Amino acid sequence: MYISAYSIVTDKQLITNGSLEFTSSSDDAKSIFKDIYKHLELKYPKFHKMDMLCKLGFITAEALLKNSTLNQNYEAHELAIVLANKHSTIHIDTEYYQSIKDKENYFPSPALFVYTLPNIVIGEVAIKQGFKGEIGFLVQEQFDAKAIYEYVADVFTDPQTKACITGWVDIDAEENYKSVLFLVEKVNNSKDNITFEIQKLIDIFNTIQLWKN
Amino acid sequence: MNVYYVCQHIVTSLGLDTESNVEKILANQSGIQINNNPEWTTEPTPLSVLDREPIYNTIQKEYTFFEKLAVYSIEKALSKQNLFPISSAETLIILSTTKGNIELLDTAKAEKFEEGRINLASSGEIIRQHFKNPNPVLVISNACISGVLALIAGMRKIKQGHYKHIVAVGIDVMSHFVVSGFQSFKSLSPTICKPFDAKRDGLSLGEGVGTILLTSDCNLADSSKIILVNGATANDANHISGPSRTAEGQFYAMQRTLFDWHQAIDFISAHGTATPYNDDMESIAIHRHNLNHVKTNSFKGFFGHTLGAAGIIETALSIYGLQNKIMFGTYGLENEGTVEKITVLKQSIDKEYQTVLKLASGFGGSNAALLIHQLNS
Repeated sequence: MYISAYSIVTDKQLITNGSLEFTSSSDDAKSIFKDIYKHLELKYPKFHKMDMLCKLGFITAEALLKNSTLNQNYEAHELAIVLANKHSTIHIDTEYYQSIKDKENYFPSPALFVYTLPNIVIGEVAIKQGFKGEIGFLVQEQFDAKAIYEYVADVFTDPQTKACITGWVDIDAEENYKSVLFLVEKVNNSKDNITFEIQKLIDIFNTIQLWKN
Repeated sequence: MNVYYVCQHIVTSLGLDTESNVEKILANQSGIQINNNPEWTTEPTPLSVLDREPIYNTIQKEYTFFEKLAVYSIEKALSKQNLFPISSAETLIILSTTKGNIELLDTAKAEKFEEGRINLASSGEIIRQHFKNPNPVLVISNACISGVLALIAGMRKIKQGHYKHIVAVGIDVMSHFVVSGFQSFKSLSPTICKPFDAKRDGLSLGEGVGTILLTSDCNLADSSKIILVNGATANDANHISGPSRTAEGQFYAMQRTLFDWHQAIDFISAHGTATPYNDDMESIAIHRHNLNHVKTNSFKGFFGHTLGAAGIIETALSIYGLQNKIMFGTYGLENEGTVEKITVLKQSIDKEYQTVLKLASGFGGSNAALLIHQLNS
């Protein structure tokens, strides 16, 4: 298994395959995600209906697959998505809870409620990218590269699985966010590929900290 | 390498263990009742809720009800196989849930606990420490396929040699958060849900816990020699809140699970939520695999949709059925009415059989299938 691409969104920055691609000049997460969406020249009206977790996963996946020929090389059901985070859907949970906690001001909305499941970000990415293979959403205390590595390696034991988007997509109630996605492929089709190993996941996840030092 | 079933424990509104659940199911009783508790609902709604007192009284630690259910059920399962090495580095605990401690959004409830207790990994850590297991608990939260996914993940971890033993525990508890959400979707039935019925009009919500222990060690395995053969998941890539009209994802999940096992399937434990779309979708998936003749059930009419616990509770009951030569029926079904004609069992029957297919599907376009087989003795 090989990492053929990776993308990171954190600290207002979009980084793809180790290169800083874009820095937003906005201050709040919502505007930053929209700036990245515009930078990627996306036209996908459904994006604007998504909650913040889905927006974050969506733009990171778009950057990850921007120049990819994945859909030409593989069938839809050969493409898997396994994601993890710490805060599950706490951002939208909090917003939804505000709409139901007061009996005098009670407006539960299906458009909010549907996003209170963390795997919806997998669904949104799958719809846009046409992924119909294996899925899984893990919740962890912190980025657990070993658990993610083992889970993805297990998914590749399914003989039909040929490629997998995996990694971390997290936003908390205060809108602190970080997203690090990897494209992992079963066969080595480029000399630029990185071997899929636990330490490589950790190194790439910590890229930002390395730059700051 | 075989992945053996060791033992199980479940709690639903029907009872505090598997045996009491089976007794009520065979007597064709449902635990779903009209509920007015303002804690959960603003209007009278059929819900399947637990008798909480025995669990509160048994587990006296400062845990949330969600965590108490996990600990209660795992302890009860372990009591059936006291050689199971729960504290070993070779054992992984997998926790499946959709909303976990979501009731802690209420600050009055949250203040009894440390900050961040609402995070699912915090509950995983409580469970890990309670059983003195050295490995971080693997928490899976993938809507209504979470329970089946926990079993698939556990099966793969044993097959790959990452771990020798697995504890798969699935839990969801009733909350106003979840009830109001399903009400806003207008997906709750005004009566006890009616899976696969022509007049089905929505689901009934439930709460509960299920635990299944798995092992590669045939000395720990149950004498019935039941194994998890294979399992798979798939995404519809179609819609985030409705199933595929062509059952795309469920068709592929079944295909990747079954390979050449189609002829061997004796029984299908369907997801069967009793929403019009879900049950039609499942009938289409079963039809596309030419399994229309295979006897199929849904447990949802007995104790509601237990969300992240459903896959484990319903697989546990299906395994009980295999062991005890019972095929369970479908409470609430009067006249079948799905897009494709399939064979849904109304009443439970006595029958010896060997192979079960468990299905699950959920929001986000999620689908899962799991194949369970009893080896010849």
